Amino acid sequence: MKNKITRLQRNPLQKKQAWLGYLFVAPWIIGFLVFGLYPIVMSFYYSLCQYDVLRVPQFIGLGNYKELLGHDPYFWKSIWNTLFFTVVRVPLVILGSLLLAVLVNNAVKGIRFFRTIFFIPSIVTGVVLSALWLWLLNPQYGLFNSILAVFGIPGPLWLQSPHWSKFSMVLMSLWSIGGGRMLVFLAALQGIPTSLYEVVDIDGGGWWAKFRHVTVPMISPVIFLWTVLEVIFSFQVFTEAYVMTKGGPLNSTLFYNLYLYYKAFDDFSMGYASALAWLLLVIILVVTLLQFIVGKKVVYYEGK
Amino acid sequence: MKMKAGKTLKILTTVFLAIAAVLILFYPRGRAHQTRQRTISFWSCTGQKEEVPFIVMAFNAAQDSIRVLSNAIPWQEQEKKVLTAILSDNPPDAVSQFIPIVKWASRMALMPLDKFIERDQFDTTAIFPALWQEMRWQGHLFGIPVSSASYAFYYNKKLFRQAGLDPERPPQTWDEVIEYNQKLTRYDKAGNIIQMGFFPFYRSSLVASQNSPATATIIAWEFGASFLSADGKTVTLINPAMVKATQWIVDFLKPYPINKIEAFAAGFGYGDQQAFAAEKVAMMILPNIFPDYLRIHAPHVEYGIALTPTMPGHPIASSTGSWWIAIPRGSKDPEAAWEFIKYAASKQTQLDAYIAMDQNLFPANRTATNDPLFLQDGKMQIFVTQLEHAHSSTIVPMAHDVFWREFYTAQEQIVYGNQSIEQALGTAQTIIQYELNKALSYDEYVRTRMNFFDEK
Repeated sequence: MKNKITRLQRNPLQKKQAWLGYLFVAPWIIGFLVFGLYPIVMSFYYSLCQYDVLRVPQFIGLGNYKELLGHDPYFWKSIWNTLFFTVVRVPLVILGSLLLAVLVNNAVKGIRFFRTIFFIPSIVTGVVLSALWLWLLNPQYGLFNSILAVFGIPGPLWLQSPHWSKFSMVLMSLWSIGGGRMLVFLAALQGIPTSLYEVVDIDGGGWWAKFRHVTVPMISPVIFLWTVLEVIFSFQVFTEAYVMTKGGPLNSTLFYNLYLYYKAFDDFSMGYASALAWLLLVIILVVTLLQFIVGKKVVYYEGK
Repeated sequence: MKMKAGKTLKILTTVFLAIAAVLILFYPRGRAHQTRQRTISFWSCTGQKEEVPFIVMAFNAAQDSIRVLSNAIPWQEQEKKVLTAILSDNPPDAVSQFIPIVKWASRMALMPLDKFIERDQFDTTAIFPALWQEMRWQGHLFGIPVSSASYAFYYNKKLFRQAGLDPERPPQTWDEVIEYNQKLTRYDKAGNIIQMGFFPFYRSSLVASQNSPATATIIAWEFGASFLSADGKTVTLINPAMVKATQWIVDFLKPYPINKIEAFAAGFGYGDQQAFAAEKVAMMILPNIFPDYLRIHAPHVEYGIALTPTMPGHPIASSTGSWWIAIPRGSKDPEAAWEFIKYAASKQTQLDAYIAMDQNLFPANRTATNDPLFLQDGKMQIFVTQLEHAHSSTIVPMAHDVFWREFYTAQEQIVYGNQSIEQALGTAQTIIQYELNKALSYDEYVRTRMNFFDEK
C-alpha cells in the first residue's frame, strides 16, 4: 500500500512507462476501435438511413423503425417465431443439461466414458448437424418416423408442417445438451460440500429433498447464468432455419435473424437490417434485465 | 537500472517504427514493375470443375499483349467480396457472375459498356434476346452474356414404360401432363406417395437442390403474362395469365392431400437425391447441364428431352438466366477488360468452351448455337428453340429477391388452401410493389448526390 501512486504523483519515468503500456495494448485498442466500435456506431447511423453499401446513405430519421413496428408483417411474424422457439427451448435445454449433469455426477464405474459419450454430439457444427437432422426428421425415410411406425404411430411432418416445424427445431437443438453447459453444471455440482447432503441424511430426507433443498440452491447462480445466456442464444437462432427450411413452410420458421439476413444480404437493405439488429439488441437487453430482476429473488449466492 | 531499461525500450520502439515505415513506403505494389504485357485481374466463381476458367486459359494462349490473372471465388462469397473490393476502390478489372446484373448495376458497381459496344460495333443481335434484356438498366448496358442456361422438358423413359406410356411420346400439352401424371404417380402400402409424374411446387427450400424453374411462371408466360410494366415501376403479379397458370397448379395438386405432397417432397435432396435423378419424379423441367449431371450422379436414368408442354393455342415458353462478364466501377484497365470480354463472347470461344466444359455452358451467342457443329447432337435444337422462347428469371430487377420470396410464399398459401389465388397473389404484389417503390425512391435520391453515368 505504501507504493500507491495517484495520477498527480507520477514521475516522468512512470509516464514514459505508461506510454509504453499503451503502445503494447495498441493493437487491441486499434482493432476494437476500427473493427468493433466504428461498425457499431455506423450501424446505428445506418439504421436511420436508406442504405445499400455501395451508394450514399439517405437519412430518413426513424423511418425504418416506424415501418418495422408499424406495418411490416414479417417483423411480428419473426418475433413470434423466435419467442416461441426461446420459450420452449430454454427450459428444456437447462433442465436436460442439469439432469444429465446430475446423472454423470454419480460415482459409477466408467463414468468418464459416459461423460465423453454425452459430450461428443455437441462437437458437431451447425450446418452439418442441420443436414443430418434433415434426414433424421424426414417424414418418409427418417429415423424418428421409422421408430414411431414400429409402434403403429403415424409420425408427423416434422419440418414440413407449419405446426411442427418450430418444435422440430427445438427438438434438434436438444442434441447438444451434453455439451459445455453440462460440464459447467457438473463442475458446480462437484463444488457442493458433501456435508450438506449428510445433513439431509440425518434429517431423514431422500434424493428429492437433497436435489430440491441442497443441489438446486447451491448451483442456482450457474443455472441463472446459463438461462440468461441460453435466452440470448435462442434469440439469435439462424443456421438451422437457413439450412433446413429457408424460413418455411408458410414462414413458420422465419426467425428474427433469418429475416435480418434476408434483408441485409439478399435485398441489400442495410439500413433496414441495421434497424432490425438494433431492435434485437433492445429486446435482448430488456429480457435480460427482467431476468436479473427475477434472478435477485431466486438465486442464492453463498458469498453474501 | 530502471533508466537503462527505459532507454532500451525506447531504442527498440524507434527501430520498430523505422522498419514499419520502410515497409509501408517500399512494399512492392502489384503493378510497380513495368512490362510490355498488360495484366488484368478477373474474378469468377468456382463452378463444379474449373479452377482457371476455360476462357481465361484460351485468351491467354491466343494473344500476348494482355494477360488475365484469374481468381475463382466460391459463389456464396463472391458477391460480398466483389462489392467490398469495389467499395474500397480496388476492384478486379473484370468480373463474372450469374446473379441478376441489375442488382449490381443499379448499385453503381459496374461500368456502362455502351461506349465500347458502339465503338467496336459489337453485334448485339447475336445474343439471345432474353439474356440481352437482362443486361439493360436505365437505358445502359452493363455486361455481356457469355453463357446461359436453357431449360427443357426431361422425362424418364423407364418410368414411362412401367406406366404403360409410350417412351417416345412425351406430353405436348399441360392437360396431357395431368393425364400422364395420374398414370405415373405411385403409392406405397401405407398410402404415401413414392413417385409422381410431375411436380409443380419447387419452392424456396427446394430451388437450389432441384434446379427446376417455377412452373407457374412458365405457364403464365405461355399465356402471355407480363409481371412488370414497361417503365419498370408497376408490379403486375396478379394478371389473368398468372391466375390461370396458378389455377392449373391448384388443379394438378387437387387429388393429393398437402401432407402427402410435403412428405414426398421432403425426400428431394442434392446429387443423386435430386428428384429426377432419384427417379422420384418422372417429368421435370431442367437445365441443359442435366445430361452431364445425370451422367455423374445417376447414369442409370434413361431419359428423353422434349420441348416444354404448352397450353392449347399458345406458344412454348421457357425460363433462363445468364452468366455475364462485366467491368466493375474503378477498374484500372477497362480497355483490356473489354478485349477479354469480346473474346469470351465470340462465336469460336463459345463453341470451344462448350466442348471443353463437358457441354455445360450453353452459349449465349446465337451464331454459335446455329453452327452445324453445335447442332450435331439432335437434342441441342430443343435447347436452342427453348432459349429463343425464354424469359429471364429476373422479373423485377430492383426487387429481385423480394419478388421470389413473395412468389413462393403466395404459392404456399394457395396450395395450402389458406388463401384464394387472387388474395395470395394480391398480398405478394402489394409487398413487392412497396419494396420496389422504396428502391426507386432511394435510386432517385442517389442520382441527385452521385453523378455516375456522365463520369469520364
